[in-house]
This record gives sequence, structure tokens and C-alpha cells, in this order.
Amino acid sequence: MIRKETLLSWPMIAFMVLFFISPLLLLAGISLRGEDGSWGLGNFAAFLSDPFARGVLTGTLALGAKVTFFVSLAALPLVMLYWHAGKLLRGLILICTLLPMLTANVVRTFAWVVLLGRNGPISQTLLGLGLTERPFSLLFSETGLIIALVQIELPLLLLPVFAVLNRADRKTLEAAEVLGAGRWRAWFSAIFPQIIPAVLAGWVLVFASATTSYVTQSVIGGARLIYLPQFVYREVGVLFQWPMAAAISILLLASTGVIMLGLTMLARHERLQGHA
Amino acid sequence: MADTGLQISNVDHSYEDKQVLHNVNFDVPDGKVVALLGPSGCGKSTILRAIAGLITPDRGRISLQGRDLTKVQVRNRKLGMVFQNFALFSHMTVAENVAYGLAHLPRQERKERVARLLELVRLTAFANRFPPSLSGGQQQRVAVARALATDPSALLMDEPFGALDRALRAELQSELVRMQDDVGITTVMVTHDQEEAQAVAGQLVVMNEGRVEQVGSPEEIYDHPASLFVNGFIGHANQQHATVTGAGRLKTAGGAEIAMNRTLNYLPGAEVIVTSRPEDLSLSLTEQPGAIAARFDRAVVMGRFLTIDATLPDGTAIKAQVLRDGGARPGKGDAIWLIPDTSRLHVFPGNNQIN
Ligand SMILES: Nc1ncnc2c1ncn2[C@@H]1O[C@H](COP(=O)(O)OP(=O)(O)OP(=O)(O)O)[C@@H](O)[C@H]1O
Ligand SMILES: [Mg+2]
Repeated sequence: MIRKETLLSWPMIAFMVLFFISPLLLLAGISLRGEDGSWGLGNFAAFLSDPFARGVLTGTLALGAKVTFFVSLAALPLVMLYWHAGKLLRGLILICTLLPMLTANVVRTFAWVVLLGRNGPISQTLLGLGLTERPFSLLFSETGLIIALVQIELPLLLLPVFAVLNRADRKTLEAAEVLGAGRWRAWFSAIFPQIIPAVLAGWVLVFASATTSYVTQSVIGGARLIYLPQFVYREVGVLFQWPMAAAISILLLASTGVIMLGLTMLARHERLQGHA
Repeated sequence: MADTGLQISNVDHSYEDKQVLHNVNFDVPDGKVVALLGPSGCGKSTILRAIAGLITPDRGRISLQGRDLTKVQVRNRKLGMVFQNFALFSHMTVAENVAYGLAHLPRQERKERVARLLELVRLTAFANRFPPSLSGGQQQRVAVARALATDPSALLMDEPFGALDRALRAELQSELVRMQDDVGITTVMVTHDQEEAQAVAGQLVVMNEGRVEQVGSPEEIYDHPASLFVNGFIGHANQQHATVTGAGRLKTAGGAEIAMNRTLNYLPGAEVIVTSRPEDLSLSLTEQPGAIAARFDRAVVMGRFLTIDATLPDGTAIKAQVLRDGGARPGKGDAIWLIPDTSRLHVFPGNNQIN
């Protein structure tokens, strides 16, 4: 049964089963455990029937969606710039994209605490320009959190797209131009379809990463803005409700999983087959 | 200067600092097909790209119906182009691909036009398929339909049949000829296949290393090659070094004395290269005056003909094609004599010499 060609993958598979699949199954098992020792979906029912908890769930998914949206918005001009750039500028953009990733998430988050604060450059600049009456803080607000997350997650979308642009086929772009298409139409019909699979992959990464970034959410969002990761932490660390925490984790996993699955199915669409 | 058709005048182009086109000149008469041919890397695609506006030549003028194209933007040139690798939009259906250049037309008119073109290239049944699911020949036809859809004032095709097998290639070539008879679009077709060029085009432009070597009809080019390169590139040419010995007289390096039936523009003593087509040599098993002595290597039957490979005394290979008769065939290593049809021999300057 064990074929020679698959032999090399067995250690990795064993590792995954031991340290990822089995804890996950364990977690799923715990989530079915009721407070009174019975088994069932009680924890899920309790979570979903609590309006506050439901709000946290939808708030977390909405955060993921908003961050993904603004990351895409921020990425578009950079992608355009990268496309038109020569070798040198491309290298520069790539380094600037990679550099922040070499810094720990915690460090980047605390940098944003400084930037977003009352005495930070954002507030002070707007004050200096007379655009605001008094200094303000973006800390502990969703706007601030989204700004920080967009910057932190941006490379996850840019990198796969840049990789595709490096080997993109320019012939279809030329074909579009010869057929009379303007610059934008030509780009969107020739180059954009080629990067869609990379964009979908980037969205999955950004979404999953934004919804689960415990550190950034809790440091910049503060105690008033609660998202699922903090909710889980509260159940475990404060209330010692392991079964409930497990149920919430499974819910978080399931909702990001569904979105990932949806995006992956989209990437398999017949229209994208030539670019996969 | 005439103001119909497509004219390419004195075009130079360099990539970085390497010049790849040198003073290219040729005309495509209105509604006619011209084939550009030459060895790989000689600049054929570069000329097409210059005509399409995808590159700007360093010098020269490209005009269509008397209008200078050099300053016109790519998208306003109203040309049709079939790319070497088709360059179809793989996320669009066949019909959407064909309709791409028709965005300015009203919906109904666009639909009718697409239907008509798909019928022309016999792909109606494939209208809703995506290009990656089509065969090479079908993709090729989509590319042609897409290029024709905009009713282009000229059609540029870059080795459109390059990727196809022999049978399909022949079928599409005759389809193109048929279509050209119906529609008659001024066309430049790039190919490195001389048979294809002769089958499809009325005029050939033979290129080598960025220069146009000769422009002419297939007959002119075959019968009166302007250079040794053209002679060898279009059909096979046997080459022999020779010395001019008098008015219309040559002596080959192998010692054969050839009396041409015309005078030559060379001074006696000049080093030349004399070439012959395989079919212009006949075979003799006995020594003849003016015959070229050679050693027989092998003979291959090609239908009614016999293709003979032989070696000259100085080691050069020579090929002859003769009608097959029942006569005795020489064996390997036997001495044979090849008698040239002197009216069809070509003489070119030898190395380092100017005509
Ligand atoms: N983008 C480019 N940058 C630099 N050099 C190029 C570029 N495109 C082509 N060349 C060079 O220009 C010369 C002519 O190229 P071109 O593509 O016109 O040849 P071709 O005749 O179409 O050859 P083929 O039959 O192989 O398609 C070649 O020497 C090639 O290496
Ligand atoms: Mg080419």
C-alpha cells in the first residue's frame, strides 16, 4: 500500500496527524461536552442564542471582510505601479513589501500604537494642518484597528500577485491593444484575469489572518472591541470554560473555512482554467 | 509613391543597441497577400510588430492607404493581428473573444457579426467553449476570426500555422486562400516555411539578418534568385566554387569546364560560386563534355523521380533529381557525370568579392 513515490511525504503526514489533526479532533470532541457532563451541541446553541456572542462572531467576520476590502484597495495602485515598473523599481517595491514581514507582528502592532495615539504623527499632522480642532486618538477604535491590520496584512496579498506579474503573458495585452481596447480595458481583460487566482489566494490569507490576529485586535482594539480570538481567551483564561472555548474556536474555524472554500471554488471556475 | 496598400520604407530598428532591422523596404498591394520569410531570428516578427505599432522603429515610414502610421497609436491603427501563439483571452468564450474588438457596435449587430465570422471559420458549434479546451487548429481559427472581426484595413499574421500538423496546416492554408479570394484583405504573413509562403502568397519577401534580400513572385524568386542566400533558402541549391575563364566560360574547382549560354558580368580570373538546382542536372554514366564528375553515394526513389546524392572530388555534396528510367543504376563509389542545364545555372560572386 505504501508506494515508493509517496514515501518522502509520510513523515510530514505523520507530523500533521500528530500535531494538527488530532488536537483539532480533540478540540471538536471537547466542544461537544456539556457543563453537566452530557454530550451534544449545547455549547454551540448557547453561543448562537446569545446576542452579544453572535455580535462578536459577525463583527469578527465583518472585520475580516473590511480588512480584505481595504487591503485590495491599497494593493491596486501598488500592483499597477509594479506592473509598469522596470527591473530596478520592481526590486525596490518587492523589498519594501517584504521588509515589514521580517519584523514580528507584536513589534508592528506597537509601532501602530505610537502612530495612532493622541500624540502620534497622524493626529498631530491633521492638527497642524488645521483639519481638526484638537488631538484625537485612533486607538481602541475599529478605524484604527483596520488601518493597522491593512498595513500588516498587505504583503499577504501583494506577494502572490507580484509573483504572477513577474511571469505574466504580455501577448494578450498586445492583442487587446491591436483590437482597439484602451489602456484600462486592455489591462483588465489581459492581465487582470491572470492575477485573479493569486488575488483569491491572497484574500484567503488576509481574511484568515485578520480574523485571528489576537495581538493586534487586543492591543489596538482594546478591551471594548471584542473579537472571537479574545472571546476564546476570555472563556479559557478567565472563565475556565474549556468546552465553550472549544466550540467558539470550531465556529471560527468553520466560518473562515467556508469562506476559504468559497474562494477556492471560485478559483476553479471554468473561466479561470487557462490561468491556474 | 502610390497611396494604396501597405508600404514599408527604409525601416531600421534596434533592440537596446543591437540593430535587428536594416533599411527594410517592401510594399503590399491592396488586397494581396505577401509572405515574409527567412530563417529564425532574422527580424520577421519585429517588422510585424512595427507595422502593428507595438514597437516604434528608429527610422523609416510605414503607411497604409497613403496614411503615415508611425504617429498613430496601436489601438487606432485598425489592423487585425494573429499572434505567433494566438494570444486568446482564455477567460472569455470563443464568441466573446471574437466580439472583443466590436465593443463599439450595438448589441444586435455585434451578435450577427460574431455569428457570421464563426461560420466563416466553421466554429459555430464552439461559440460557448473556452479557448483552453480547444485544439490548436481550433484556437488558430478563433485567432483569425477575432482578427477579421473588426474589418481591419490590413491583416498581420505571425506564423499562424506554425504549431499545426501537416494536414491541418494544408487545410487552413487553402481555407485562407479561399477566404482571401472572397474578402481580399491586404495581408502580411510571416512564415519560415517556404512551401507555405508559396502556397498562400502572391509575393514573397525573403529576409536574412534584418535585411530584405529579395522581393518577388514565387517564380521570380525561384528562377532568378538575387543572392546566394535566396538561392539556397528557397529550394535546394548545389554550390560549387569556380573560376571565370572567358566570356561565359567557367572552370569549376572539380575541373569541369562549363560553357554558359550567356555572357557573364565577371572578368576572367574572377572567383565565383556557381549553383544548380537538383532538377536541372541530368545523370550520365559516361564522361561528357561540360559534365561535372562526381562519385555516386546513394539514390532515393521519390515517386516518379530519383534523388541522387553524390560527392564532388573536393568533398562537397551534390544532389540531383532525375526522372526514373529502367536503366542501370550506379553502385556506391562509382564515377558518374552530372550534366547541368546551363541556361538554369546561377553565378554569384565568390567570397570577398563584389559583383
Ligand atoms: N524584446 C527583444 N529584446 C531584445 N532583442 C529582441 C527582442 N525581440 C527580438 N529580439 C531579437 O531581434 C531579432 C529578430 O527577432 P524576431 O523575433 O523579429 O525574429 P523572427 O524572424 O520573428 O524569428 P522567428 O522565426 O524565430 O520567430 C532576434 O535576434 C532576436 O533575438
Ligand atoms: Mg517570430
